[in-house]
Amino acid sequence: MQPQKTEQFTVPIGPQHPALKEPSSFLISVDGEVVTNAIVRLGYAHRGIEKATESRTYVQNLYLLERICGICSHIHGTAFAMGVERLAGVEVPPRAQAIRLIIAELERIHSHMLWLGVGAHQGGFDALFMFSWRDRETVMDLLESISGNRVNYSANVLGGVKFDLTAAHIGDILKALDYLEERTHHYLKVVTTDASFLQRTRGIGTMTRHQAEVLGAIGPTARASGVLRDVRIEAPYGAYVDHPVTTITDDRGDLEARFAVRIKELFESYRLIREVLDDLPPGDIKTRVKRKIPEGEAAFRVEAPRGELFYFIKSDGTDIPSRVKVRTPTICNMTSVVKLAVGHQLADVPMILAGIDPCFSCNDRMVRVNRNNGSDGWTWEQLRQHGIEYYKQRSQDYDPLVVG
Amino acid sequence: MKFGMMFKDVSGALFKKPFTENYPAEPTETPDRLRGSLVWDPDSCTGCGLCARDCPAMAIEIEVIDKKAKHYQMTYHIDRCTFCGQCVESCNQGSLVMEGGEWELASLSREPFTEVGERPPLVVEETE
Amino acid sequence: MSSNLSKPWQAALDQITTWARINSPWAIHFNSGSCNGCDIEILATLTPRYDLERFGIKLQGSPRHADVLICTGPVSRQARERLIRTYEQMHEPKFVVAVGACALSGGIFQGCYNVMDGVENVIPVDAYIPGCPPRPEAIIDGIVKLLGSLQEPPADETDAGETIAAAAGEIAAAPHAGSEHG
Repeated sequence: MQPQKTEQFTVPIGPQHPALKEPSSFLISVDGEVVTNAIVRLGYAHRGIEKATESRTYVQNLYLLERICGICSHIHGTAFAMGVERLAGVEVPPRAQAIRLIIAELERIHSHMLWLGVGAHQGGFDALFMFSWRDRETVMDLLESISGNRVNYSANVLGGVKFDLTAAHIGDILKALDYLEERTHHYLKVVTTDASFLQRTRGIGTMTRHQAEVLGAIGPTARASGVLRDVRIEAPYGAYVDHPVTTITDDRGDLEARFAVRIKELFESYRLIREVLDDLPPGDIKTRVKRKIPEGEAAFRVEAPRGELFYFIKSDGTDIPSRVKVRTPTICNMTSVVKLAVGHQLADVPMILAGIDPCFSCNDRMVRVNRNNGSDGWTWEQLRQHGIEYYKQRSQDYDPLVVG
Repeated sequence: MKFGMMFKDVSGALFKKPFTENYPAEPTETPDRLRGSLVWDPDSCTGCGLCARDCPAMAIEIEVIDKKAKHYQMTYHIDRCTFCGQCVESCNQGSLVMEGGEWELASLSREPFTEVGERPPLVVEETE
Repeated sequence: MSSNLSKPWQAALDQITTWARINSPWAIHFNSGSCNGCDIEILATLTPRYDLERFGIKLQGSPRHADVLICTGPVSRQARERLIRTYEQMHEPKFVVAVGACALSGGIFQGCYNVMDGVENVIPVDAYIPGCPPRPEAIIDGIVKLLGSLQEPPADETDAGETIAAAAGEIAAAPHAGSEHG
C-alpha cells in the first residue's frame, strides 16, 4: 500500500487572539498535527513612538517611552533617563540609584509572576495561573503604594526619582518578600515536579546552547540554554555596580528550564532588594538637569525582565532629541520561536511562544533601510504592497481585507 | 514526579475567607500616594504654563486672559491624562495636586472629561 | 425579533432578555496597539483578587459570542481594519467599552503617524474608562455603570450603524491614509 499523501494547510492565528492579550498574527503550516513552517507577522502595535520622540521634549519623552511597554515600563524609563543623564553629564544621587534598582527588581518580580501565570494558562494549568496572579497582587500593591500607580509607575525624572521610600514602605516590602519567597519555593516545586505540567514542558521547544547563540536569543530565554548573558553582570549600571547579581543558568534549554530559570531569578531579586534595603544610602533623590541637553550621542543598555534593552539617544543641543532608537528584547527572541516551533505539535506552539515571554508592544519597532539606489525608504503603500506580494509568493493570501 | 501539586492550594482555598474584594459594594482602600485626577488650586497659580509645556499628553491648557489681573483659565482633559504626575513635579508654586484625587472616573459620555477652572480676576484698586 | 407575539408577551420577553443580558454579558477583549498595561489590568480583573466573573462576565475568544467589546489602545492603522471586522462580527445589541487614556483620545500617543487617536474615531463607544492604566477597580466600576445603563430602554441604534458604514466607506475610499509617512 502506498503511503497516504499528506496535505499541508495553514492555520492562521491572530491578531485577535483568544489566548494572548496582544495583537500578533501567526501563520502556521501544518502537516497533520506537526508544524512544518511558522511565519510571524508583527506590527499591529506599531504606533510610531521613535518618530514621535523627535517632536517632544526630553521630559515628555520620558513618559512616552515608558509607555512602550506596560509590563516593563520602569526599565524603559530608566534606560532613557540614564542615557540622557550621561549626555548631560549629571551624577545621580546614590539614593535615587538604589530606589531605581528596587523598583526595577520589584518590576522584574511582577513580570516573572505574570509570565508564570500566562505560561501556566497556555499549558492548561489554570490553577497555577490564578494562584500566581493572586500572589502577584502583593507586588502590585507595593508598587502602587510606593509610586502611586499600579502600572506605568512614572518613578523616574531626569536626574533622579520622584518618590522616596519611607520606613513604612521598607517594612511593607520586607514583609511581602517573605511571603513571596515562601510561595515561590512552592511554585518552583510545582513546575519541576508536577507530572501533568511536565508533560507540556519537558523536552518541548529545546534550544541548544549553539542555537541560542546563533539565533541571538537574550535574557532568561538564552540563560535557560546555558548562555550567560546578563547586562547587570556584563556592564553593571546604576546601583548594580555596588550590588552584584549572580546569574542563574540552565543547560537543558527546554520549556521546563525556562520556567525554572525565571522562578530562580525571583529568589535573586528578593535577595538583591533585601541587600539594597539593608544599606539604603541617605541623601537627595534628585538633581537638576537642564532642559537643553548638550550635543552628543549616548547608548545605554539595561537588563529588562525579558532581556537586554538597548537605547540610543542623539542630541543636537536643543531640548528635543534628534534621534532615539530602541531595541527591545522580544524582537531578538522572536526568531527562536519560529525556528523551534517546526517539528512540534500545533498544540505546543502557544507554549513555545509563551516560553520566550513575548511582549508585542515592545516588539513593533520599524526599521528603515536606506538603499544606495537613491530611494528614500518606502512609502506606506509600497511597503504594504511588498508585504502582500511577499506572502502571496509563499502561497499565503493576504489580500487587503474587504470591510463592509 | 508527582500528581496534583496544586491540589492542596485549591482545596485549602475552600475553607478560607475569599480573597476577592467585594468592590462595588464596599469601597476599597487606596494608598495615600495614588495618583487620581488633577486638582488645581487657582489662588497660588501664577499662570507660568510649565505644567502645560511638560505634559506629555497635552492634557492641560492654561490660558492667560489678563496677565495684570492674574486672570487665568485652566482646561484639564481627563481623557488625555496619563496620570504621570509630571505637572505636579514641574509646578514651582505647588498649585497642582494629584495624590488622593478621584480615580473612579468611568462615564458613559465624554462630557465630564473636560474640566474648566478659572481664576477670578483680581480687582485692581485704582489709586490716582 | 419577530413581532407575532401579542404585546404583553412581547413586553415580558423583552424584560427577560434584558435581565439575561445584564446578568451575563460576555466580553471580548481587543488590543488595538496599546502598551499592554491596560490589557494586563483587564486580565487582572479576572483573577481572584477582583474576579469579574462574579458579575456573570466571561471573557470570550470569539467575537460571535460576545456582547461587550473591551477595547484598549490608540488603534494603530494596521489594527483598525481588524477592529472594524471584529466589531462587525459581533451581533446586535453590542456595546463597546474603551479602556485607558489612549483608547479614549490617543492619550500620550496622540499625533503619532500610525495611530487613529482613539477608538471613537473608528467605532462607536458606549462607555469610557480613563486612566493610564485604570485600576482594576476602575474597570469594574465602568462595566458596572455600563450594565446599569442597560436597564433603561436602548437608544436608537441607527446612529451606530451610520458611523460604522461611514468608517467602512472611508477605508474603501482611502485605504492607507498614512501613505505620506514612509
